[in-house]
Amino acid sequence: MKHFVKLFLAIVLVLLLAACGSDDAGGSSDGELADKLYLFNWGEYMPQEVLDSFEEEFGVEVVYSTYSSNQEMLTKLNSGTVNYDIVVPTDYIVKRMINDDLLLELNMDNIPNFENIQSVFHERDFDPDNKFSVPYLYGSTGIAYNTTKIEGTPSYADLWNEAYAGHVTVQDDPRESLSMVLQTLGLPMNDPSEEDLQKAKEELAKLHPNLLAYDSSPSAQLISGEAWISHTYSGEAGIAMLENPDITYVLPEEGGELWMDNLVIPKTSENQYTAEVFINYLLEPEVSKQLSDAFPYSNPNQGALDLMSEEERTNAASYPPEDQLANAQWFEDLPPETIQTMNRLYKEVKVE
Amino acid sequence: MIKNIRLAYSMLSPSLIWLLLFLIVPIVMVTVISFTTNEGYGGIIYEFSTEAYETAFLSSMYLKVIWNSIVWAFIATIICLFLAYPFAYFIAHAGKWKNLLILLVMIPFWTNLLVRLYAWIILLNGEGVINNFLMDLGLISDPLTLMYTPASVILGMVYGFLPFMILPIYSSIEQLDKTYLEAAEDLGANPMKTFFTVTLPLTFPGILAGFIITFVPAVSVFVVTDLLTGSKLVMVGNVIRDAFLIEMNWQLGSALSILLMVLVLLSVLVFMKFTSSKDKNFLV
Repeated sequence: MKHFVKLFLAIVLVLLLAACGSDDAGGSSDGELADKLYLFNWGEYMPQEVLDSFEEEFGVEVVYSTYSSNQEMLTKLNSGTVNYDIVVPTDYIVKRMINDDLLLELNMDNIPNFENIQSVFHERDFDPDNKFSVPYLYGSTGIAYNTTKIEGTPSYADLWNEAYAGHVTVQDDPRESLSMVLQTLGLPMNDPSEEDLQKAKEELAKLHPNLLAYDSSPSAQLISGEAWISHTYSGEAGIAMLENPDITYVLPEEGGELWMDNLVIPKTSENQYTAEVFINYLLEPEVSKQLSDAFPYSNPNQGALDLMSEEERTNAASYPPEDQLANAQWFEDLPPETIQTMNRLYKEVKVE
Repeated sequence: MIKNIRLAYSMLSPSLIWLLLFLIVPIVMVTVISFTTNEGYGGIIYEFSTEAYETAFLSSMYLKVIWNSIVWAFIATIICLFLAYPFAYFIAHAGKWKNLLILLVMIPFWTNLLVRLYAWIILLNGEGVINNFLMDLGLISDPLTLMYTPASVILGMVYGFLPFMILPIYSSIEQLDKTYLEAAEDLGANPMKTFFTVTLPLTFPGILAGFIITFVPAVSVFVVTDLLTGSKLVMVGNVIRDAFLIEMNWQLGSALSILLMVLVLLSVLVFMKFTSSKDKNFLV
């Protein structure tokens, strides 16, 4: 019996060691390309053709895995199961990752195409020297609506309109949906007090019966006509607008929210050089245009913008008018207690 | 003797290793994490804390979610049982069609539940097949709300897990020794009496197995509520997933998993106890 236990433990040990054995894909930081690059990006955010043509040109296979929230990305990154080479966090998460010392400093000599990025997107306050991050795409959260069902230009307050009951969707995310309610109430979305959040929760609870669904990708419901008015990402609206001409997008008078996703290299990456070559490739005007063609978010790349038609550059979802943009607010990171309170209140709305 | 035990263990070792690696180790990890401290943004600090359990117990919300999940899963399981038993009985007596029918039960299984639930969305939604059909017939003027209700969650679970109930019941009816039935008939029992005093008690292990393997996954499912209620209703599976992936609160997710595990074990034990005493009544 004792022998058996020993044997058993030996087998377990062997298995564990085998699991730990690293699969050195080769590649280093000095001018040699790796065979494989692990890209961890949002779902529906990277066209396969771009990855294929990168592989054709550089002989590097890009393994694209997807996530659906910044938190999911951070969780998987922290768990350390895969050494991702590139991840694409939102701006305020970049700041948090810099603070936690999770990111590699970029070697900008390998990313000359950074010049193509519009100067307003250089040196943003979450990464003041552009040492760690390169803008990918940006966008807003506002209202997508069906012009045959909704009269006039809707604001966030119209989500509560009982005439639209059963045809309203809001983002399925505590931060996003509560920020929308806070804006509607005229309360600060980046620095809400406990009281503000309580009020927001009560308003969200009033909205609940009016909803078709909590959905962060409602484009299908907008296209089918089931959703009339949606609190959603500009890109989701853009996808719906391509399929259904009755759909349009507006940043509401209450403000709307802005965010930008950024390419960064986590400290755990073993292929910094290859990752930088890939980032540089994505910043080529033609390639960058392919990204925003496939997923109609806003492109910060001046080179890509120059290649676009007038119609593309004035699309209501991707490039809202200046006065609407000026009114919108950027997401900022919140203290942990506030985030936890938001999470709890959001669940309470659904359960009660 | 010792040699035999050794042989027995070495033959069992693949499954023992499997159990150790994929059952015991994860449960230990989950338990450990549930007692650690949350750094705030989701990092794990290895210091003892019962905060996650306090959160889970002090807010009535979590207990309410777990209660809802158990009730919905239980209702779905009972409906499955009443649908599955006659069906399994029929298949077991279908002669040469038996294998084909069993195959038909299994085929939907080869498709992901997610895809099959999308089919239900197409059927049930406001602009869906059923509503359009009824409206075209003039039976209703406004679309019925078929989705977004607890009933649709239960429908989704019954649909998704019915094969789990049919298969064990089928195999226990299949294996039933026909001589018992003949003996009952010879002794003058009518078919009804034979069924309730012979067939049902003898196939009870199948019912029990079916109950457990239907109820346990049903209680923790989250795709059904996501898809058929547009995330407006939540089950404990949704709450646990969100604790890990959205809130980055592994401690809370782990504590709720442990709590769910304990409650499910308890409810299965209660069910077994309750039904086994009934079982004896059948035999007298």
